[in-house]
Amino acid sequence: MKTILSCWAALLLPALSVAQETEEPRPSGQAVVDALDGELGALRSRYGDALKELRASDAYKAADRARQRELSSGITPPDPKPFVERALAAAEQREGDERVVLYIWAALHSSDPEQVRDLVARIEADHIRSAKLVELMENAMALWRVLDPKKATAFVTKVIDESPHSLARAWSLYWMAQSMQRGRNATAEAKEKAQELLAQAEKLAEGTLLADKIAGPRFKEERLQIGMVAPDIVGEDLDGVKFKLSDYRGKVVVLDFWGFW
Amino acid sequence: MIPHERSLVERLKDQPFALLGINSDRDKADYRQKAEEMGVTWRSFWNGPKGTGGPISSKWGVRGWPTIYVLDHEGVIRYQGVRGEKMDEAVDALLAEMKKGG
Repeated sequence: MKTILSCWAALLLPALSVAQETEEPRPSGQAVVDALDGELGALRSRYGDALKELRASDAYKAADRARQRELSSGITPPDPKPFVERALAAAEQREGDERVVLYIWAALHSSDPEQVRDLVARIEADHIRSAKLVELMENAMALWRVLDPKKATAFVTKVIDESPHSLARAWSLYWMAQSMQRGRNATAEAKEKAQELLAQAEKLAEGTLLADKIAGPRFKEERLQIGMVAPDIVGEDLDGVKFKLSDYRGKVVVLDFWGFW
Repeated sequence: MIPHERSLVERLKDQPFALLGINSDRDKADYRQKAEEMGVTWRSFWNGPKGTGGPISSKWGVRGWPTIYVLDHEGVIRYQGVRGEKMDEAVDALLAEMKKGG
């Protein structure tokens, strides 16, 4: 009896442990991205604080330029490379949108142009219709910085032509317009074309932050001139308490768009 | 910039005046720590996790930071882009106007 039982156990146990391994929930691509953001973000803010502390120190203030540079170079910014590698390793274990999220994170954080080119090529080949592309297109300006402008334009054009997601198309049109009207060499024709793209983007993005962003200059012109009643702002403070600009009627108000950064 | 605004708020604490920020720091915990260190006593709308790309500044077409508007007690935009002493003068003028019943 005993031997039979232990035989059963011997047969069952490996099967059980295999089942447990496969059932262990794998974090979603987004969860991996959030973890990477958290870790890298913490390192970056520590780096920023260390620099600030150095610059505020008496030793730094008293030093000459060359010595100051030397002191600053002792504090190095965090290297994104190991984080990008982790994102890519996680991407290989996932498929579809789960993978795209990780590719996009890697592309937006990598400092290696070759790697970014490769990732964009993979996204272009296999994931051009993914809903997750919104995240990449929202930051598409970064592509023009890293890729050859022709390549960046070709990729963004493909998203505009093939993505079924209006917001991905809208951001693509937006950055395409920016790239056309930027720089001293932009012709009047290019600027006109850019305005057309922006109008298309605004329509596609209706009701979103992007539409507001595109309409911003017009809003300023039409609603924010001296002598006009300021449009209300409804929002919340940094403690999460809701309030409105119009709560302050009856007081003189300085509105200050600012930040520590 | 922050020390100037802090002293303006302090000087006018008994007046019908408010300095309201639209703060574009991405991280609220970071903000709190720095606000504490720098003695930020005034209230801000939070522009959200996209920082300077957030909803309020996008809607208002803000391109440069800081951007400043001064409103009178009826909510009318009276000055734009006034910084440092100019900000104090603008606020003082509007408070005086308000007291005259203008």
